[in-house]
Amino acid sequence: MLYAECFITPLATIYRKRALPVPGQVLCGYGDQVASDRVLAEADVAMGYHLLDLAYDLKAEIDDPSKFLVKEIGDLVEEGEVIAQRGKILRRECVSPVKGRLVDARRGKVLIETTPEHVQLRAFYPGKVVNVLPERGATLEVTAALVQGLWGTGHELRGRLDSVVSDGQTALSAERIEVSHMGTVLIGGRTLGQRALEAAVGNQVAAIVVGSVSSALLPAIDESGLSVLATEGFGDFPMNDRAYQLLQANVGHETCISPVIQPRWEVRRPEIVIPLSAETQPPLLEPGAQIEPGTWVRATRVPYQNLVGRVALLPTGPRHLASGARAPGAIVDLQTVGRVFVPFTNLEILR
Amino acid sequence: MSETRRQHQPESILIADCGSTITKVVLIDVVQGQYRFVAYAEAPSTINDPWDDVSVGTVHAIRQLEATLGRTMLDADGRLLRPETPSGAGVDRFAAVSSAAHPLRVVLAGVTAGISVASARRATLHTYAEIIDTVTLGGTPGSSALRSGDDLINAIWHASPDLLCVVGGTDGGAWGPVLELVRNVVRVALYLLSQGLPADDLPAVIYAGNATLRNEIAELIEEVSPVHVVDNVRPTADVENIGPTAEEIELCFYERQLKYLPGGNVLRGWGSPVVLPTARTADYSLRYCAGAWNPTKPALSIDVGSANVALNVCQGGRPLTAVRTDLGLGYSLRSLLDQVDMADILRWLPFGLDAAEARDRLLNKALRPLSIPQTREDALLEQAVAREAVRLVLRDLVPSWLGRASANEGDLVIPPCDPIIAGGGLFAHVPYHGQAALLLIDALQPLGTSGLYLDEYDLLPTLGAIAQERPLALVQTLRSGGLSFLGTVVSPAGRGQAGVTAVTVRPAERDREPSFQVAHGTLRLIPHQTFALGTALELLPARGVDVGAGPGKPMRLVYRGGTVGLIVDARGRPLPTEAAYLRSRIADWLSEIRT
Repeated sequence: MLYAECFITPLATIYRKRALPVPGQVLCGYGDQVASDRVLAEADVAMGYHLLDLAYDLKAEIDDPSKFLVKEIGDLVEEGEVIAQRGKILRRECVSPVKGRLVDARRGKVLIETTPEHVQLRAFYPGKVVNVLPERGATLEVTAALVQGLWGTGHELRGRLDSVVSDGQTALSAERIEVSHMGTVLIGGRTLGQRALEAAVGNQVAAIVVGSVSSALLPAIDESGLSVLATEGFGDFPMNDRAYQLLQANVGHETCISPVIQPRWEVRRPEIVIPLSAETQPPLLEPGAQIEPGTWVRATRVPYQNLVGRVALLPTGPRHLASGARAPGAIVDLQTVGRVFVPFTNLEILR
Repeated sequence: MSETRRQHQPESILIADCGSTITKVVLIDVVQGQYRFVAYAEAPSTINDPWDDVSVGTVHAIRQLEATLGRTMLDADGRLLRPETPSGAGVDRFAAVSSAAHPLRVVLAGVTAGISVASARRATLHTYAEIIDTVTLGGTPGSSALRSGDDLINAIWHASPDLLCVVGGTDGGAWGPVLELVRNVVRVALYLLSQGLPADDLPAVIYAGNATLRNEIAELIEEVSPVHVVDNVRPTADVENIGPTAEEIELCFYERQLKYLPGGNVLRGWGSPVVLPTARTADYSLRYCAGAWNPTKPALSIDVGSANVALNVCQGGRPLTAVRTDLGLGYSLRSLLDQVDMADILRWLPFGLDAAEARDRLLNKALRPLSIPQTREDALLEQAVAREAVRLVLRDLVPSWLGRASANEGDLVIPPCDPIIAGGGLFAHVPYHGQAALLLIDALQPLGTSGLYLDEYDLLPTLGAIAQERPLALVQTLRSGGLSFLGTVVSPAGRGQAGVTAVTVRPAERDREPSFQVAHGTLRLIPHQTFALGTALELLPARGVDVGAGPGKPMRLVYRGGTVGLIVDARGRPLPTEAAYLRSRIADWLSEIRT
């Protein structure tokens, strides 16, 4: 059987793919040990084009634009620079609206390419190159602690892990966020509200990790530009104890947070990777765990949403749910509610 | 045995439907000389990370089927055994369908945002496509802002679509604006794309505008990119002809997306020559249903999935499809919530639920699309969302189907259909058949007498995969009860004073008892064991009420039973949708329908 899985792991070997959005040049090789700021690949990304109407600007019928061009195809042009002209006394001019390159001219039109943006792809994770992706980047092997969340927003970034809460049950208080938290990835406990969000932005916190966020706060979070990761998703849920303890144990470590989330046609878990060193290589994290008696799981739907427990029994055949539907599942000893039946579709294995 | 002979032999058939969230497998086999639905199993789909291979989920689903039946179908390495051995291991045939491929990314280009572009949009609904931008010389739909030529070029270039569909003008009509669009925008954008992309990655281009300009347009575009020229989507201002464009778009979806479904090559290696789009195979099956069930009425199917909602109609041999890739009860739930007011969802609930909490719950479902409702409240919340999603798709289909605008609720009332078949993840796991029936009636609001069916085992799309090669298997499986018949719904036209009888239902013969009075504004269930199957019933409408024979005229109806029964819906058409009214009545309706 295939089951949903969530990795909250103190030490493991993980693979992470790093790739440019467009083809470019790869600057690393197989087996390279790379630091997090090492450039793995780079590319020039075109930003846009402008089509200029020479006939309109020069007030003339133009069959062959080259007769009027004062720049060659392929030339770089500055914003406001004359690229074509007609006449001497009553001179008409066509100027480039942007800094860029003249890429084509025909049928009375001229095409300018805006100066491309030079993009560099950095390793982000310290590790070893185990696969080179031609023209795109590389796959890295990283030794790290890993905490996967459920929802996140903002940019991937690195920062020192810090904490301002004493447990995962308490909401993040604005008063606890100080200027000393500038640039940190802050463990925020249960959830955050508008004031805590404003305090985090005001003190230039890099990212916040909480149990949950209310969807009502989404517009404010989006506007703030702050990177936020919620381990349990939307609503008002405490951070699960495993995640809280693991993060707390690594306070002070440099952390790679990837809150990026959900392209619409798949669900990608946001995650916190805490690079660590190990004397011997820890086991590789691979999906495919099975639910058995003793397996740690988290329930994913109301009325047991986000409660954690251990599988007690695996009854044969489907059972009735409170909704009236029937589904196969497991008997789970869930924290605070005791022994209950939960369908397999509403369980994820905690690893 | 020769291949020709073998094709006429009854055989066991395994069909897989790889959805975006769930992969279903269905086994059809010959029982007492007839094809029958034998078993169904499902497993999570594996199109995304970390598997990126739909065959992994398919193997898991087949393993479930093996466990259920005690029959071997796969070898130790997970390869399908074909043909079936004398000992009963393996299957003779395999076919696959899928709705899991990412939708075709389409940019529409037109002169104005009006007529032709609206038709082109309807053509894209024919398959799994997503309009990522619409570039017009006359402004963007839904926005008053005019975009400059540069903006239009850059919009196409930035979008780098799979398909660019160019429309505009009527046949023989004004040609200047269309030529301007192609010369100064389309051609330049394609030229720019051709500078940075390998030839295989360039957008496909369809021209479906003014037919008089075909040669000139083709010449202009072919300087930079191949172009498929098809009939104008709007040959005249009042005639829409989206068929050829729709077919070309679907072909493009197959060639560019479905053909490259991760793991699709494994399924093809098992003997499925192609992996067909689920909405199309459902359409193939529905065409059969339209002919076999009740040729006088349209057949309709609705599929509410995780990433898509698809509506198929077949009327008089004319099939119509609307697929919305931005609506669904899982992956597409977030974009659905962007399009539907939460108050419109909550009005269908018989209990109070804070809008913020409802949004939190639904967004969590979007993050865990595989999960199912565990409580009655959660199940009803998802059903409420489904009602609104189906209404949105219906709004898209009504102009092509019924030839009228879909601006208000009254335009969305549909004629009696038989069958109406409900499928997809939501319906497959619906706790009670009565809830499925009520959802269908509320969302589709058919007039007159319609038959309601539930496709719990995904037979409509899966059997459609073999409709061309094994029509007998399709026909015999559906006729032998593969679908669950929920019951018949009678929805009279005409309004009256609340509480006053709108329709009386009674046996047409003998003592004419029991008799049921259904008042205006109410919905009444006549449960499934009230009458013997085949009993002739008489529907006696009040003055001004039409049950299908004309205002005030009685009509006979053969009682067909069903897992729910005969539902008389005298709530009126269109159903009043004011939130206060619905919230005050929905509990009664759910109670009446025994859920």
